[in-house]
Amino acid sequence: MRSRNSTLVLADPSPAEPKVPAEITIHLRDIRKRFGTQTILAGIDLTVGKGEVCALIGPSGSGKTTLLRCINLLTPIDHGRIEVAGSTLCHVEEGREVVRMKGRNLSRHRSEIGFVFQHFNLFPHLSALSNVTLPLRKIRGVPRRDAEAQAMELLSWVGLADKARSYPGNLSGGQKQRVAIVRALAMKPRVMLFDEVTSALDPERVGEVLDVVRRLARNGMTMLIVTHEMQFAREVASRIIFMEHGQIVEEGHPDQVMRNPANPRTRAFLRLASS
Amino acid sequence: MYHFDYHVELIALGFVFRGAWLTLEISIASLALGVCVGLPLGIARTHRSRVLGAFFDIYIEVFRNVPVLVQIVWFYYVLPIVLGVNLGAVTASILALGLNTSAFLAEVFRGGILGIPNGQHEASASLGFGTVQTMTYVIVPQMLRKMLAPLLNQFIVLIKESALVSYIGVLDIMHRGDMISTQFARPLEAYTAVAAAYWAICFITSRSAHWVEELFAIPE
Repeated sequence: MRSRNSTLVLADPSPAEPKVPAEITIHLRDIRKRFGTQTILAGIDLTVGKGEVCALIGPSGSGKTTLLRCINLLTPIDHGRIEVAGSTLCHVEEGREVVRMKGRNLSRHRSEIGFVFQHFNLFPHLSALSNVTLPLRKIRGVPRRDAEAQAMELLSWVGLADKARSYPGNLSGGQKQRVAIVRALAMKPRVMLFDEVTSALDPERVGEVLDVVRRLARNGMTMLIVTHEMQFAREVASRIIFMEHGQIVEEGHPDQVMRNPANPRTRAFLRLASS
Repeated sequence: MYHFDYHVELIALGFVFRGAWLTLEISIASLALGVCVGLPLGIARTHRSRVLGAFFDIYIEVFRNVPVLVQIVWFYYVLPIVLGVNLGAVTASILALGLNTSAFLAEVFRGGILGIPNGQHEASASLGFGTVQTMTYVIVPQMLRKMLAPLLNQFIVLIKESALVSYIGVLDIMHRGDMISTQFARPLEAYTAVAAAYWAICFITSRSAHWVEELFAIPE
């Protein structure tokens, strides 16, 4: 487990290597979700291969964030099937629950899915270091010394070694978000889910967070990124997924989707987003 | 005109202050019991369970709507009849005041837990913490720090309410005042000393409360 992490995160990147998804990390089938009478997700099918970086784009209210939250069951789905790394987390057919993982089992799988929130959600009563070590110690059972060493390594990797003892309240938005990323990374996740991680930041702080995500992509981390940063999505993603009204309207290689979108709705959205 | 006897006043002060430790002991023990019982009650009340909910409603409403003095007397004179065990006056006092406090604190804690943003629960869940771990490591530590002010306030309330235990013969500040008053037939001096003792303890406590709060505050 540990070696997987260190190679994934800290190894030298080999950018020339083409990404061939040999292994499926996330498999979603016909995901549907309603809030009251409103349909948020209207049947989403999505497969993310190991090492793939998928950017989810689309207008507000298109269901991007909900989809992301459904993957680790933070939001329960009404219909469909969610598989992460070969395990079925949830399977609901016609309102009948075939599988809905709960308790320890669900917790164990969630710990292998890194989730980074728009509003950081760091634990304010703990230092940056303890934010990272708490889950390592209590969930993975890593001894304190080892946990601190691992956390320090990752914190230095994002340029925050000198902020290890600071509390979230004394960190800038960009710093908080980098700690949040490290906290998720420390658990050695199979996949990282990013939910508009730069939307709550001051413009001058966006770059430092995107840079971390960029480096993760280069190191081969499997990622699903909900973002409004079109330029970033194009640069970092191996696939762009455009969503609207709870459906995937178009997906494909960034150059194709961004430069030459097939769907008129994608075109309209990109025109608005770039203006 | 009434002649204020400074000599008696000094004796009264000396005698009364020797009860300060017992008053504090009862107050601290009651607060501890109140937290230990009130915390699980408060946590349980944030979960929507019908049966548990009804039970806690009754518990809280009983302790809230019966005078504290009656509760103390009840625990001292009635509980031995019911259970067949004799509780000492101090034990009965701590039990009554502590459980009474727990009913108040349960509500304080419940509010405090509900006041922790949902994002904290979600972040914990996404990292792989279960419900109990989330409460233990994330929610309750934050809640307790935020609830420190009402907690310390409750402690001061307890110090003052503990004067009621003199009624069942506990030799606290108040009871000692009664003794001096009878002994010297000097109620003015005696109860002035009693007032001074409570005032001093509560004043110091409330002044240091600010300092304690700052010590445990979550840095912002």
